[in-house]
Amino acid sequence: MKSKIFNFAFSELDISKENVIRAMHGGAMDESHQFFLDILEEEFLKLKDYDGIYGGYIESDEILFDVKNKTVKVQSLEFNVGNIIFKELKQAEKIIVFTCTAGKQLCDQIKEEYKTDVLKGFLIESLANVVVETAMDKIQDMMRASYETQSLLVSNRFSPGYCSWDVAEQHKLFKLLPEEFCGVSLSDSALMQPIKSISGFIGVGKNITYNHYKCKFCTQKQCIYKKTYNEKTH
Amino acid sequence: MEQELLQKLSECVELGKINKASPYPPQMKGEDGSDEITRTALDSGVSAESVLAALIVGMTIIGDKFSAGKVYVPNMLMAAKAMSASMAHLKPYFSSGEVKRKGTFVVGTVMGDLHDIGKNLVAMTVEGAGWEVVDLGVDVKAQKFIETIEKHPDCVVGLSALLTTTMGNMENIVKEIKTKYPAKAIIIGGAPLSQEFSDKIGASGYSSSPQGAVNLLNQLVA
Repeated sequence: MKSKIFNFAFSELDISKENVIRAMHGGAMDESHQFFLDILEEEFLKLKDYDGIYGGYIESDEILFDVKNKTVKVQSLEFNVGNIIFKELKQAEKIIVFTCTAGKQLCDQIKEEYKTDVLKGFLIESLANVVVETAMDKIQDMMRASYETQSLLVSNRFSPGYCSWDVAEQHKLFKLLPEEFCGVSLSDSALMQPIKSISGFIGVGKNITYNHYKCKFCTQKQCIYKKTYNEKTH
Repeated sequence: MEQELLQKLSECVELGKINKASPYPPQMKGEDGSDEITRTALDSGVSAESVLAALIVGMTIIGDKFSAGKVYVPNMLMAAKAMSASMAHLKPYFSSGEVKRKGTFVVGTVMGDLHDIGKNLVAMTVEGAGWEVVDLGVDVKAQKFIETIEKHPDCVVGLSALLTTTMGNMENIVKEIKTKYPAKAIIIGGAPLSQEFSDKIGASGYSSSPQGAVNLLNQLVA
């Protein structure tokens, strides 16, 4: 199985403080935000040499879709991904199994900050969220460019725990990845360590389409992802 | 003078003005914060109960604004910090029993879920409303909740989950708690949840906001 690992320095991700604030609540900036931007400024300076961000994936073309049960088998492991994700992946010829992490050092820092300053802990946590998603965006962009040379398209990324894909299926997903792949492991209760890590599937194929998350159809009014939904286009 | 002080204290909590040195919020730069005003109030004979009531007013206002989407998590956290600065002065009054806690609230994010900012906001708001809070953190199994209930038999339990796929764990935890403590009051909260789900799993109530959780708790002990 083809696999790739990427390592990023914080400085490579071109994250702005304003993006972190916007990602927190999706609203407009106002004068009170300067205080939070100043705290982030300090943290950005501390992170200028940080290079503990890792992400990677394996590619599998040993896949089988069960239209009736809305499941997908990857390397003989069956995943009950739910209706929404099944629709997005069913045209795939390959499934990419990925993981990405903001890294142990940054995650340990979050834990430490929360012990003494809940605001700073939250701001750094929000920053780490943006770090891991931005790193995975970069990986996905490189993946897309690589598959384009084979006339293949790439779907959005989908993770257990969202869109009705049971978080317990993380255990199966991690069986597809080499142990401690990118420094990420899974607890008994299906939580990743380091804590600011993501994992999931991406579909690759000639007839795959990239669709944004169907947040507008979701009924969860309080979901922060629905509130901060970003209409990216590719 | 007392009313003025308490009103100012409520405003400091609402707006997150911790102390004089803090540059936040910008419109209160250089003014006394909840730290100084609480000290002044207590030193000038204002009762600790009155001070706590003023804190609750401030947290209620910011809590309602948060529920309405008018302020965001960082604003709530600053309000909580301002409240904590005041609470530090009130600690001796709680220890002596002069100010009574409304009860004990044991809260945690359920097993399999690591989301905690909502739970943390609830914990801070509930504490600001005069409750003792025991925060068990994230990924909390039923057994941990049960062990904590044994230490705090009169507590109300709060369960939090953000993933639709950990709602099942929440249901199991309620079942296990109710098996040992059938009359235990349990409230739930989190993005995918609802009153309907609360009813289904036998919980005592659901709230979509920190202030809503406070209102629920107060109703449960009334």
